[in-house]
Amino acid sequence: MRDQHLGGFEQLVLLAVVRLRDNAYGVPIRREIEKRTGRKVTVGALYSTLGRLEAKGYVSSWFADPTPERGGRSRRYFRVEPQGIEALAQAKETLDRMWKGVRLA
Amino acid sequence: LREGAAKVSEWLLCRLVPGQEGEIIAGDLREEFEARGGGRFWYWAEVLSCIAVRLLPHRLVAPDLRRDLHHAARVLRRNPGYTLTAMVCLALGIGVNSTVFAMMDELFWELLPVPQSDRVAAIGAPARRPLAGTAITSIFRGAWPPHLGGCSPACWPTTTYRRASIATACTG
Repeated sequence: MRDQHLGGFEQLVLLAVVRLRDNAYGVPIRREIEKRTGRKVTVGALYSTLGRLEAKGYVSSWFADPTPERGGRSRRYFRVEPQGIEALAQAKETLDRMWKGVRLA
Repeated sequence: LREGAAKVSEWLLCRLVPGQEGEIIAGDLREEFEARGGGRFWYWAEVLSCIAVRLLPHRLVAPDLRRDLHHAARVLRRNPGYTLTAMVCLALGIGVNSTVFAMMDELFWELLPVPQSDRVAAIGAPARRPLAGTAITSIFRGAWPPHLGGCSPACWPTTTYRRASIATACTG
């Protein structure tokens, strides 16, 4: 059960990967999170989280061909796996249950 | 971003971030730097934060010295045997180190505790062992005393004598 738990930043990263579909690599994932949350994301924290999500089996990744604008380096694309979708749904359900009946102020 | 700086930062990333991830991050940063149209400060902050996260995977925030010291004190209090061993080792290490340094300093590095110690001369015939069979004279002030005859100290090899040299001369 503990492995199924998703942290707040992990949820943001997973949702960004879901939203970006086939264009989910480092740069757009960062932009997506920053644009929608207004939160600064460092590349170190992003890849650290993506590595953890991959180790849990929630995302998978593959390398594209090298491009000149990246100094001859490849992009690493990410895709959400069914376990990731399930973990996201569970996290939302948990939050919804907690929010149910709560009134702020 | 200058090519040299880019190479240094990319080299750091590839060396300090394990696997292919360093290459991927270097590519991402270069692509984003071009898209932003600059921002050297931003670029270096990203590189350093990336390296810091890799080197300190257990902490994603800046180190808190006060919290660390408090934690260290609690851990030491919980393990008195370890604390005592560490304290004894540190005390012995510092004590022995200071003693050896003081001895070496007094014997080999400090000049003789006499006025004008650079004018101390050794009188005697050169032997196989340096200074063996010689004695250290008193300090010559001013001109070379005429009753000693021979040449003046100017023709003696210029040597600064220290305590260890005297010990060799007296026992040799």
